[in-house]
Amino acid sequence: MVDDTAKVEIQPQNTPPEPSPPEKAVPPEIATATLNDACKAVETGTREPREVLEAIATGTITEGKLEQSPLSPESISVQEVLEMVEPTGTCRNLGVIRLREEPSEEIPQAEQEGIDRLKPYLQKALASDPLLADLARSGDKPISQEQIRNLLGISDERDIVRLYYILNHNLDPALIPAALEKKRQQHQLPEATVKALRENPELQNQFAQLIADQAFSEAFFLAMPGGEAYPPAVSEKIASLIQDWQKATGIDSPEELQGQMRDFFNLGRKFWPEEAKTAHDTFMSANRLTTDGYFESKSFTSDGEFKGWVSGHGSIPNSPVRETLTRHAQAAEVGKYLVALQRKILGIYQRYLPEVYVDPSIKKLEITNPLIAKRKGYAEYGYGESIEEVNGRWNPEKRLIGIKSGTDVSGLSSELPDKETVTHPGVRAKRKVIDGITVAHEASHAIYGELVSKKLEGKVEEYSKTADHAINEGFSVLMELLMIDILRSHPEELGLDTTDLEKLEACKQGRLFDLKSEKSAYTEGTFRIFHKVYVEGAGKGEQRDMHQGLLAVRRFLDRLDPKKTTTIQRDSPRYLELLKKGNPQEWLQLFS
Amino acid sequence: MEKQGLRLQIEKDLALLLLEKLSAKEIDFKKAQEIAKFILKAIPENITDAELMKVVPKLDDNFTELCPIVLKYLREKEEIKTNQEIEKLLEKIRRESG
Repeated sequence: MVDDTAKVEIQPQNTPPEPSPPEKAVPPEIATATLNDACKAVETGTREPREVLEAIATGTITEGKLEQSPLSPESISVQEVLEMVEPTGTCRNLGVIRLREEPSEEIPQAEQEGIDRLKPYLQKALASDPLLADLARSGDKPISQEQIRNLLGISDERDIVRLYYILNHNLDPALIPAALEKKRQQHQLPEATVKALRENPELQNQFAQLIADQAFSEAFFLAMPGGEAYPPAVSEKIASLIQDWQKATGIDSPEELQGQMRDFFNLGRKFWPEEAKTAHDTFMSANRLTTDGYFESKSFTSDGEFKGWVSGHGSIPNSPVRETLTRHAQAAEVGKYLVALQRKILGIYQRYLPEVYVDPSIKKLEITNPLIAKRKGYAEYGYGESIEEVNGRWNPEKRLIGIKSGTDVSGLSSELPDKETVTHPGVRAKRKVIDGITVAHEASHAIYGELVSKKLEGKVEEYSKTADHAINEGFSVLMELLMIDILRSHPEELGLDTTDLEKLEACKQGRLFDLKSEKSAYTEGTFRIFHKVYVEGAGKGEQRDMHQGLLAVRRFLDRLDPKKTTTIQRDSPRYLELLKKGNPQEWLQLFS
Repeated sequence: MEKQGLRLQIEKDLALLLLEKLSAKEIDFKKAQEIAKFILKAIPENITDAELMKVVPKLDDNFTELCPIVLKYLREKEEIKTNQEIEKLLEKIRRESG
């Protein structure tokens, strides 16, 4: 078995005849952009310059048009990601925030109506493709009122301002009166101050503007009695607010009230900020009411498992909603990549390997890092395999493909950039290269399930001990290696450059080396049988016909009886004997 | 400059130059393809900044279209060198006068 795999030559050097001509047709997921759009994309950093240079070099650029990356995330909506991608692993922040359904008991009825008014807009923000794409790319940049107006389609200026402060400062100006009402007595302010604030949206905005001013916030929260005064510009803002606020109360003794208000803002630096007379508790309460009034967020256990939904939008009560939304947006971008990659690989499978393709009916996708992969049981089927050896998994019950991608825990890749990953044989390459192969392998398991296992009713106990497990792996390894050859012949499918092609070859050699050197379900010899079936069908050398090879594989699969493949164990003498020297006909005698 | 920052900046300038020249029909797609292939070969992804600064002055040897980028980086290099010389002289003056 081992020696045979060393001689394996899967690569049909002559490009296989393509089954039908639709390759020229532009797949729907490949959108186009004008040259000017491409310039903008390079300037704003949404397209890697090298990616554009590669597009020009490989001729995917055509008169006046530049095809977007084959894995362009623009072609996938956040909604599709939410339906398809598991909110776990690298995407665990996907949908990490949602709008609260039941009103919070802390919010007075008058304010609740205002909250209900804004909720539909926030709901739109949570699923807005352009807004989330902007957030994922711009990182910590505040969301502008212009973005709110245009991307969420809002025209009411008051709503825009409120949303601006909610998203960027975790502060709904309309909730400041409710916050003040709770703490009014400890601040020693008359009731009219709350009434004036509640009736005057402009005043609420002035308050919000001041609280959101970083210079004010730093000076207020770091104050000490007799300490440094506010910067002059901030003092002016406070003075102006006090004047407007006092006027709005209609109270006749302005000096006394102004003194109370000056204490409220600690203008004379008489107090520590937390002392009852200052606005400290009102500010904190305004943030908390905003958080709890609008949002719920996911809570995780210390090892990252989902625990439940809790009030608010994050572990730090005062962090901007935007930050949580950005985490959701960044997870959505990863999800878009995963959905696009899966579609692309299945498209390639269908077009280049049609003889063995049936709709694998994949319902869920998961992308995770190696540590979480271990907990998720990526190695659960194997015996002898350790977690580092498994790049993906197929879960037939959930119809889920999971891939391990990203920072490696073996120490090989401590400085791995975001766009790279490491595969089991230690090949470091762009994610799309390695993930593409992994998805192809896992999709092959799904296809095997449709072609073979589907005929079986009920669940197989201790599946990893059955011959079916090893046969399934042998088929998937063959398809994985054929996919590598197809990608090498058609690099434009994934937008691969020469380095990527070298990496693909390294992946193939790594897999062949493993087949030779290790002992596992992947390597115990079932690949050798599938390879024999393929070569017998395809012929050798110049005359090799990939499609005849694939037809032979399909005929072989069609004759397998899952009742036999799942009842004969991997340690049965007859199976072990066939592994050593059996030919395809003998295999079919045993398993059909 | 951060790791790979110089290469990315140069690639960005080169990509924009090609796109602009294509838009203005100063070069055709065949020519752009030749130039892009040459750039990708001349500037591999793992190139160091030191190697890159040796490669950049030679880019327009084969394609004069790349001249603006070469000049830009040569000027920057010259400016850095001049500033370093000035700094050295100032340091010398400071030492001698102190």
